[in-house]
Amino acid sequence: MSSSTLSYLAGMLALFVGQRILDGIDEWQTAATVLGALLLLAGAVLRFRSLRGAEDPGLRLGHRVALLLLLTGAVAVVLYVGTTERFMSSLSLDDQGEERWLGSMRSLWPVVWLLGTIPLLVVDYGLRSSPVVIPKARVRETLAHGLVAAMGLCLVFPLNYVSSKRNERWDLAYFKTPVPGTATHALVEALEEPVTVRIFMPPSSEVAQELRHYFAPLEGPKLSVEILDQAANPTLAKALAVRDNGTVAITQGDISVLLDAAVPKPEGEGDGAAESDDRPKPVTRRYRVNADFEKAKRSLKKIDAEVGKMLNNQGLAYRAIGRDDDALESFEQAHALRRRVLGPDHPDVAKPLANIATILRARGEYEDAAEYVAKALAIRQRAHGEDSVEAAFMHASLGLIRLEQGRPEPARQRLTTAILAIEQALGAEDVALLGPLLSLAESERQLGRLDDATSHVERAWALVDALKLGKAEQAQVHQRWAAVRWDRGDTVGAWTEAELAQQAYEDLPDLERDAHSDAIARLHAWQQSHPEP
Amino acid sequence: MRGMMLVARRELAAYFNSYWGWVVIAVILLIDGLLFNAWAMGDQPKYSSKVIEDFFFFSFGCTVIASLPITMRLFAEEKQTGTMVLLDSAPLSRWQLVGGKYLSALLVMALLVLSTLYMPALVFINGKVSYGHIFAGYLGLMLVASATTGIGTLGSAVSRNQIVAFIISALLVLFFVLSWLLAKVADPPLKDILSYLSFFDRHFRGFMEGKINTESVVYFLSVAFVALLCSSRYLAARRWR
Repeated sequence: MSSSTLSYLAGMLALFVGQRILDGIDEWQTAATVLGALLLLAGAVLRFRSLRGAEDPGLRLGHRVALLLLLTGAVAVVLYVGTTERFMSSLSLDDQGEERWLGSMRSLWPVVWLLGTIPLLVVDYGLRSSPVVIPKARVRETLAHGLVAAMGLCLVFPLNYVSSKRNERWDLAYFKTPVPGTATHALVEALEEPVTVRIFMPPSSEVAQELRHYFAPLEGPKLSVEILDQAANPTLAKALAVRDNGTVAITQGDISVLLDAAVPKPEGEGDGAAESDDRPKPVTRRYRVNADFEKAKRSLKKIDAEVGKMLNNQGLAYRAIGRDDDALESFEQAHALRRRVLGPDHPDVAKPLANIATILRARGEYEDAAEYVAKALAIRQRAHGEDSVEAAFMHASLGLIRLEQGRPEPARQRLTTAILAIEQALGAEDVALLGPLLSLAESERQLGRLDDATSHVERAWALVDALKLGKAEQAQVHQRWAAVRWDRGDTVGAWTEAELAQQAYEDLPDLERDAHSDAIARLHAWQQSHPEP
Repeated sequence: MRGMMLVARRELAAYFNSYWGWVVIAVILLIDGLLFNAWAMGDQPKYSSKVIEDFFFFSFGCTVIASLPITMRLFAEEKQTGTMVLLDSAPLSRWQLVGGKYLSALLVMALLVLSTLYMPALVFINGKVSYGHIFAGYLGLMLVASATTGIGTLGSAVSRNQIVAFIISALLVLFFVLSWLLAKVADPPLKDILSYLSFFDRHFRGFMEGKINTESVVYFLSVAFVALLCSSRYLAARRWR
């Protein structure tokens, strides 16, 4: 290889190292870039000298062609400069214009580079093999060979790039790899704000490819997917709090505020700007999947369980704001997912069942609610034991349903069982006893056993006192006292208790008061139906 | 096309009129069969699909290795025996010459690959396997064969004797097979490029598991195309020396 071509290749290598490998180390990057430019210039000068020194017309033509090809390679470098951030900012293009410019330049410079470099190497080889005399025809032919090879490569690179970006996959295996279901598609379609899935994995990772294939059908205006190497994107990784590869970060919202905060500030500039930044912050959830295939499989199974938990929590959130239909849907999804992932007898399957029952009870669908609670009770009894506290809560729920159905006797039996189990498991002074005690007092009152009812309410009050419970619990005890005292003929005492309950409810913060709106409504109804003495 | 077929027919005759083609096929089939019995079937119970995966895993290695002795003689032997000058002076374009030789080697590889069909067929007797999985695996093997045969053709075109051709082709193939290892230690963007070049890790694994990816099909065909392009250009340029 001639010294000119060697200098050209060394210059290109220096530029590549400077731009791609030393990116972020400013001093070294500048040094490598300057060195690369000088080596390119030296290559051109050496070729020009060879051209001046050549006497044979064939050699002169060869060197002229080689110089032209070398300059074509240099033009590719100029086109590359057009894709750098510094140059882009000087153009002041809008987003669409910037995208078009970058798209054109990024496709153009490698093509120009290949069309310059490959024929240069071939022509240089031809000139070296005939250093004294070379027919012009041979120069033209070597140039043609080089150009054909370069054009072949030019065709192959974009073809592979496009095929990797627009990959189609057919899974013909007996055990097929899971693909997003209709529920997942619907979930993505229903997103109010687009989300970006960033898969931080080494590109050689098989897991990255599997995840890419999983997310591919979901990609669109509502969801975009990026596969990134954590080491190559330190700022972005820092902004999203991703510490290493093997993590999937799902972000909703504009991350520019996080990126600004992640970029280290120059000395003397505090981070006050970031603190006072009032731009909306994006929401990011991270999943540690692991870059190793077998470990990733295990991690993904855990994610299923986590999604089940999130759906259950989503249901609770909907319930708190009164969107019972949405809450019911979330609980049903959580139940189906947990049942599938954990198996029908896993104790976590009982939670959404109990929550579904709560909504049905609130709607007055008592038999359906009781059926769900009975299922949850059976699961908990199998998982934790007949007399476990987990089973006791289900007995208490069933008792409450029976009480609201107007069936105090079965309610009393269930509540008594629940209280005994809770006492055994948690002790006689536990807050978990309060609800069942008050419900039991109501059952006894409805059955006309006023002494028993009184003793249960007294015990409930002692509990509130001993545990220093809040206004909400105090209000519940006063409310129950009012009913019992009225039945005992103590109308004044009953009204006093009702007023104390009302006062306690009024002292609650707005949000908590909303949560007790049913109880408050019942209190008002009681006050209206029981004349003040 | 006629010239290419003429060369291909001549080369095929050369493979099967000598011991060489038969010996290579027999040795590779023996190794494949032993590995199938010892490794894929094994003595532990496993899913049929896993047996097929294991079969395609080592068949990949056997195909890659087989392509080297099959292609090393294509041009290097002509140069060694002095018959290259006849080809140079024949009324054939370089593409016809390279294409014909490549086609003959690829047909031998196809025969070798398809001779292993009895092994997955055995799995049907006692297990359940998807036809699609077997089709995908064989498609992958044929694509790998087309790429490695292309590389072998290039190795043979640039070498003066068969041993050197074998070594050059082996080094090139080794690079493509092990580039995933280099990707693990390299920094971006080299890492991305090396990772994409990996024959097995990035491209063949999908076929092995019964999945057909268009990007892998395009990739293997691209490697074959580039190798043949470089071979034809090299042979054309060589005529001036």
